[in-house]
Amino acid sequence: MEVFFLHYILLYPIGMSKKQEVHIGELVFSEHGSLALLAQGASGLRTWRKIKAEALKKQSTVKKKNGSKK
Amino acid sequence: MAQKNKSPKVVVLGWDAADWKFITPLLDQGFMPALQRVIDNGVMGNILTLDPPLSPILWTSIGTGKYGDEHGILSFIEPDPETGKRRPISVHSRKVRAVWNILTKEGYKTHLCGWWPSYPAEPINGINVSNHFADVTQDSTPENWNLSEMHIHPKSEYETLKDLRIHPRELTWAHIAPFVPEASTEKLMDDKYKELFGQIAVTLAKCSSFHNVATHILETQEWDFIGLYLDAIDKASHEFMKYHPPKQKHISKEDYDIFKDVMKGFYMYHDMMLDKILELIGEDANLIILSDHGFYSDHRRLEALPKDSMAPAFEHSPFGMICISGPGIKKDERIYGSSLLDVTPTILQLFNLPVAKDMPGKVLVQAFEKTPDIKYIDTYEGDTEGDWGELDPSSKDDVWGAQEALEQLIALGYVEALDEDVENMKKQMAFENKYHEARIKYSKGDYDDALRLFEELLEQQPGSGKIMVRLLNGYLENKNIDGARDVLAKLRANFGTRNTPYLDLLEGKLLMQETKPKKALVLLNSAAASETATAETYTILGKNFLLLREWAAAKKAFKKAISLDAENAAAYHGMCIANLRMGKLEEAIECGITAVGIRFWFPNAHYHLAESLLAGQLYEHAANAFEIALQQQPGFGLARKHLIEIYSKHYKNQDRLKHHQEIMKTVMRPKITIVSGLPRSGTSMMMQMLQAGGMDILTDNIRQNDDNNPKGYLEYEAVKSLLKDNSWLKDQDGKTIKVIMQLLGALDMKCDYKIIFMERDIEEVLASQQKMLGKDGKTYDAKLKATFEAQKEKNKSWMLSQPNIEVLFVNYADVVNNPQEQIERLGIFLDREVDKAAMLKAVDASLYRNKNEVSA
Repeated sequence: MEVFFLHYILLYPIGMSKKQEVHIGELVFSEHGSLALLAQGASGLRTWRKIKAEALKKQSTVKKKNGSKK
Repeated sequence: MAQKNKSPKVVVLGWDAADWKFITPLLDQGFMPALQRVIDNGVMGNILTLDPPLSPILWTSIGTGKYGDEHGILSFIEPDPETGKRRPISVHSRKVRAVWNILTKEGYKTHLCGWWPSYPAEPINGINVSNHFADVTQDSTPENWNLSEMHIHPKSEYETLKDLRIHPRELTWAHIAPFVPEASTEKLMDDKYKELFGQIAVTLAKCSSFHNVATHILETQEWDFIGLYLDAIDKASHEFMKYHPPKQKHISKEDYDIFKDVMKGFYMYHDMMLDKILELIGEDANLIILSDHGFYSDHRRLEALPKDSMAPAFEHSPFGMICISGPGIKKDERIYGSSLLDVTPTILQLFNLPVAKDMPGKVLVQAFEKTPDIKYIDTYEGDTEGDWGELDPSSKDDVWGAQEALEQLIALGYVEALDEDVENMKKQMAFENKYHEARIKYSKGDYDDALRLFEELLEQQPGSGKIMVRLLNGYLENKNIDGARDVLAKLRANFGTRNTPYLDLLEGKLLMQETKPKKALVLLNSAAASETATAETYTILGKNFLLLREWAAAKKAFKKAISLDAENAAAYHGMCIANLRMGKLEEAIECGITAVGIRFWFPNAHYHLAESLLAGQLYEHAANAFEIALQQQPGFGLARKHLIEIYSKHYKNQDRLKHHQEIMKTVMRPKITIVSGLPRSGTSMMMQMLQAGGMDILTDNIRQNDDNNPKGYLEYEAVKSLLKDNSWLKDQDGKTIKVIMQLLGALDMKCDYKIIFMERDIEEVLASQQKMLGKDGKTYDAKLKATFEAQKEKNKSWMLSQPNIEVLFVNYADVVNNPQEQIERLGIFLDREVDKAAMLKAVDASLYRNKNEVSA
């Protein structure tokens, strides 16, 4: 579960706030959410993996920058 | 394999455990729009599961059109031929061809994703990924997630398809959060909930992996057939249905708040995947979505599962869901009477291929816009010509690469964690397989074979309550009352103190079978008063009230049964009969319609619905309902008689009238009542009672009354010559005839018989015979006694094994000592109104003198 938590922290900065992840109890899943992407099948998976890789890369760059300021 | 240029396209989407009861409210709220489109453009209905409701058995029946005892998949596990240890069930255990083998042989581009079981992947004419393709172990990560090549066919697709798996640890909170909208991040880190969140991730990742493969095939491959099986709804239901609203008492508020939306989430996610599938398959393809069984989501959810190898299956409900859409399929209509066995014949029909006669299911013709022209062949088995996409039989010793799958089955409770004693494992596996096979045979109506297996199982585990209960019910079905009594005694001895209400229920059923409804009532009332009473208890109680002709009480009991189980077709059928007998026709019709709506394959319910419609003078509808009863049970003579009356007098239809009259001439069998037993066992007294009660007695009065039988013998001379000539019997429809026990074997088996078999203490019989012959009633030949007893047992067992004979055993002493009860039994057995008061008068206690003579 630690892995999930890590990704939670990682993904929200890339444009998916918790509010946009619409609750099942209220309405349908967000059209642009990660889950909706997963439901797109093979193409969705590839897109999502690309987004994730970019997010990780961005995160890594931010860390590096922060580190250099120190 | 030859390629087809243009062919039909069929997608079969398996949603394990999907249930209309859960889906309907979601459709109403607009939460499953993709499924709604399929329903609007196709047909929908219930699909009846098979017994036992275990997924590997069921999905193989769906894919082969055969029962489990024929297709060979009998469990979740099988013995490894090398080590003898358990391994998840594999394709190697399947003994027959599946529809994907047939389509491969015919040259269709055939793809299969995750069907259970499909490991090792068979070399079909397309892509095949096994059901263990996306399994994970506790310690696996996306980086060390291996995959044996045996999971994928063809090997050339291995790298591409392997990458389409998504590991649960790849998923993020963004994926999980929609299923648990009330969960905070603190909860996520709470040890108490980690495992449950993990379960959501594992289930979601697995079904998404198979969905990825299916979409990849649709986007990149030629295809004629795709079978995609997803187990996520079933897996999630077993883990999370307990949290679904309304909140159950034993679930804490905190847990409820977090997990109450998980099930809703999985159904909605399936709809999202379906939306993509619909986009990719277009409008030229036929789509079949189905589940193998339903899942209880209401008050029938179990608080705890019993300790049993099949415990999780107790949560399965008997009706799954099916919808079919696409070219040639009706739009926005319901279909009835579907069974899992019908799926393969229907797929074959969609491809215009012949249906095999050794497939017990049928093409779902109601779904088709035009009645299809169905072609048949004897079988698809045995032909070794061509490429069927089957495994090489010599590859049976493959190294199994899915220990993780076994771990999962153990975790789910389907497989018991055993020690590593190989011999014990083997024994346990063989026992479970035989148990499942016995249940399959029982559900098919092969009672003799099923009972033989249950008897063998009980010998192996003499204390097994579940086997005893199955055996008892089997004996009741086979009318082996003595056998049922023996088992009941064992059950009482072993479990009496703990399970009294259930054992009372079983004994009540036994007494009903013996046509002793008053005695049964005492026990059934006691069972119904217990806290553990179920819908089944009240249904049986209601049926007993029907036997007693206490219509209002029957109605009350059925109503209670329905309040506990709204899908109880038997209870609605009972309500229909009770209302009909009370003259409440509208209610009777409503209940009859509900009964057949729930369970279409139910000839008796169609019959009573038809009777209600007939009584309400709705002749056209009545005729339709009688016709359905006859379609389902072609020997249903009463239905045919009613149809002849309707077509000749009320709803005139010369063609149908002629049709039924012609069949009646050739098929209808005379129904004759026989009174039998040893001479001097009370047969004459019974004949006199029946005559007084209004039965039509066949007698020529050649044998006159005498001192031995002052009220007359009521015999028919030709009976004595039955062994030489029984041809006259077929002309005696509706008559009652006395035939001594020794001549029963000479009956014309083209007739149907109700035999009232008189039983009397053998010593009393012999004493009476001696006296009648003018000899000393106190002395008789011991050899004669043994012979008579042996003949009696032989005759009893012969009668019980004849399909055209129903038997009621009546004890002479019981008639004399308690005539009212026996007259009640006779009325029920004969299933007609009899003059009970006149019958009572015909019983003359003074005839019981022989007993006094012997005992004096």
